[in-house]
Amino acid sequence: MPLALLTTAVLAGVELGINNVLKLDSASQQKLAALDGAVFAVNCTSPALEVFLIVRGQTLSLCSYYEGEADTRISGQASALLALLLARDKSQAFYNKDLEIQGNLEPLQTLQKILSGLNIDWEYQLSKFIGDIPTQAFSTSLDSASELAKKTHASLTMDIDEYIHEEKKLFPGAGELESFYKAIDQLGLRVDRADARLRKLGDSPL
Amino acid sequence: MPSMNENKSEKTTHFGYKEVPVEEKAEHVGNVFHSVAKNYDIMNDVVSLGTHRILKRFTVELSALRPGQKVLDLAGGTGDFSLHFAPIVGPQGSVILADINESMVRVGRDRIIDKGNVGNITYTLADAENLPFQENTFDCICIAYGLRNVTDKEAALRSMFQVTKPGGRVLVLEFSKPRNELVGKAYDLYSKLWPIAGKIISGDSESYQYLVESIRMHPDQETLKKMMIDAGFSNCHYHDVMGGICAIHIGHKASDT
Repeated sequence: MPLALLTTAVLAGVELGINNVLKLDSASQQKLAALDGAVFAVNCTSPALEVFLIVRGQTLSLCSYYEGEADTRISGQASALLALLLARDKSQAFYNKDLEIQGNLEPLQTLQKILSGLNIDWEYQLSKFIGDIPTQAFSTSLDSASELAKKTHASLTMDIDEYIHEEKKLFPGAGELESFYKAIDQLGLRVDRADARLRKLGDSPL
Repeated sequence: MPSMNENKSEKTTHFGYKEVPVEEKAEHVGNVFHSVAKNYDIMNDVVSLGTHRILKRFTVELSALRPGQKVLDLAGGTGDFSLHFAPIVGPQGSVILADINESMVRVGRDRIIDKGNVGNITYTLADAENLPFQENTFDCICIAYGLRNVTDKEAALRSMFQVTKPGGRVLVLEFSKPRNELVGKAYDLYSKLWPIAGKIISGDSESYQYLVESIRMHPDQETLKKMMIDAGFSNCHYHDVMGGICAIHIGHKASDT
């Protein structure tokens, strides 16, 4: 129960932050209103935490408890969910094998675009509910987790690249391809020069 | 629970630690809340160190309300729950803020209107022991920090059962009995400060002394759960919060009632 109350407090702070910023962004409010009544379940498998996002008119409610069926459910580890939030390519971010999505994807994509476009001072909003010191501790933990997710993502990308190109040699690497293209260009130039010489020789009287 | 006082011919009940005639308790409680109404929200923050907001929010989540539903905010006082319920049930639903105390309803109504909420909340004076609504009216009834002030709690629970729809639920958020002895002692010590805070904030220490005493006299978690079962509710359970300092009891009215 203490964890449930702490979760409720944190969600209250996040909700307040989001809705305060939404009040200043009428375009985002209109987009959100188009999702009125939608329920999204975000199920973090590790650490175990489930959050429900409910669109009510032009506001978003965050709950730790909901008895009905969500319209869209997304499940994954914290790192995968964080990576989704931090991804530069929003449209591709959902196609991640570490994420499981059930239900309608489009409203979730719309919501993600709205949220990622908001500029929220999370720490200020959260501190209203749980105080400055717990907020600082929570923020530090979140920054660490976010940094870890970024590094993991970058490292994984590099590892996959190296595996495909260097170890398994399934595809040539970028460097190899560039050398190959240069060689082709060089060959093309030499062919052109040879062709020009031949023409010149052909035109010259013997 | 009303008791027979052998030295007098009339029934008496507890008003804090005092015994008063049953028919006078409501008036005594009424006087308390007339006195504290204007500073009720401030005192809630002081008494609960601000945690009542989180408890109320958690209780709202447990209500599982949906758009279009009808909810009774009983002993709703200054309208905290009504403000939470209103956007959930939406314009197709309705919230009734009911309290036996006119001063509290006035403060609640003014507060809600000042926040710009005039759509789906209505206000009424009502006695929890004899609710003035038709049977099977409400999808949910919520009574927060109010049941301990009711003279006949069993009658109130039966009345709530009657006006709840089949398939609906009742939530009771109330002070309860701490599970841990250390927590209990710390809480006892802290509550001794409430009358002093009441004196400073609203010039009335006696009302807050009553609040402290009424908490001590309220049934514990299992006793209240049994009372709800006896009133007809099914699937009754409770959540202890803050080590049992408060508890949220939930009871359902069976669909086939």
